[in-house]
Amino acid sequence: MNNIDASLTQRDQNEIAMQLRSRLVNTPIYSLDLDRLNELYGDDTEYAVTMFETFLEEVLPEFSDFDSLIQQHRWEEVRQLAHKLRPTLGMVGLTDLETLLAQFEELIIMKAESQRIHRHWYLFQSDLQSCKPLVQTEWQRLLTINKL
Amino acid sequence: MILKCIIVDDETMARKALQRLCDQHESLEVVAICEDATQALKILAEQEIDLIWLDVEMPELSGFDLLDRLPTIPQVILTTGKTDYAFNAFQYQVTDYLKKPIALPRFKLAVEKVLAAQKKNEQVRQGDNKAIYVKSDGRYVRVPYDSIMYIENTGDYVKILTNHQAFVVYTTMKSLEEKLGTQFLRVHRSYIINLDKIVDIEESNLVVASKVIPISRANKAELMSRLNLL
Repeated sequence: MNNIDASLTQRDQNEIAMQLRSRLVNTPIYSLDLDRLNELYGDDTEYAVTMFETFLEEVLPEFSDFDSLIQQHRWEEVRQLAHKLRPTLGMVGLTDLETLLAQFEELIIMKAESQRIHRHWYLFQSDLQSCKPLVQTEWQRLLTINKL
Repeated sequence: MILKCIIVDDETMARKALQRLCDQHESLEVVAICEDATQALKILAEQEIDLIWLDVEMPELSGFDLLDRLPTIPQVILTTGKTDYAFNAFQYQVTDYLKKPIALPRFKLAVEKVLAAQKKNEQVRQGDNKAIYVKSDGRYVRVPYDSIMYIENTGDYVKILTNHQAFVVYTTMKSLEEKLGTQFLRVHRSYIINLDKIVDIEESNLVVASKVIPISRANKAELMSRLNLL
């Protein structure tokens, strides 16, 4: 994570950096929620391809909007963005990340302390990056099936 | 029955998903896809819409803000990422409330609710080919075609004028057009007339039962072709 908030104390920054390093070593193993994908798309691979493509090309870049909003402590806008993007994770089978982002949204609603919000965000962002190859692989697989 | 619907959501995947689901349903026709409530208000002012697929949380105007600005509310299905809006949904008497992302079985169930509600709320029913049935004081009254002079859309409701009374019904002009026989013709956005009751015709107006009714340019050619002109 390149943009640890400079407004955090040095101690906070060290703590977050440590957690991220620990996260990289002990990254939870994510897999796509295939039952969920089956429920959403059934046999309609064309539909699934469209949704996966939209996520990778249009939605994923929107997650980078969080950094500047969080740095500026624009918490209501952060919450709105989290609320808006949360269902998109479910649409590509990232159910666990969807839950993580819901927890993030709750922290902001509860007005949790800034450090806690930052910590949660960096963990989510790290996990999202880890999951991106899963989504890309599934998209490729769907494209192949769709062409047959 | 084909329901004209619009999709209102600020999120791209949500709009695409609903469009896909609606396009594959034989009873739905998507006439507009809106990224915000302001776009939707413009569409709703211009067209008769039967159903709104409405996101709740949107920037500037929320889904509920949009409903507050409508003179009459068509059927609404709220779509949202959380379940906190159930009370508001109840207050606005929406037809259904779906949590995103929406799976096909749940979508189909919601559409069935809309279709059932549409049938139940119908205040005008097709009778034989000589009359319609209009809901009045809790019962259906048979209104023969020959007694109907014209029908006027006043914005909030529709008025069916017969030779001795007026029926006020909450329905759409489009719905009435589909039920009425060929002796009726829509001559203007706000008027359907009984062709057999025309007293006089001018360039851009006609007279039915002493009421001067405008003829729109879009409908004029059809009117002229339907009249037995010498």
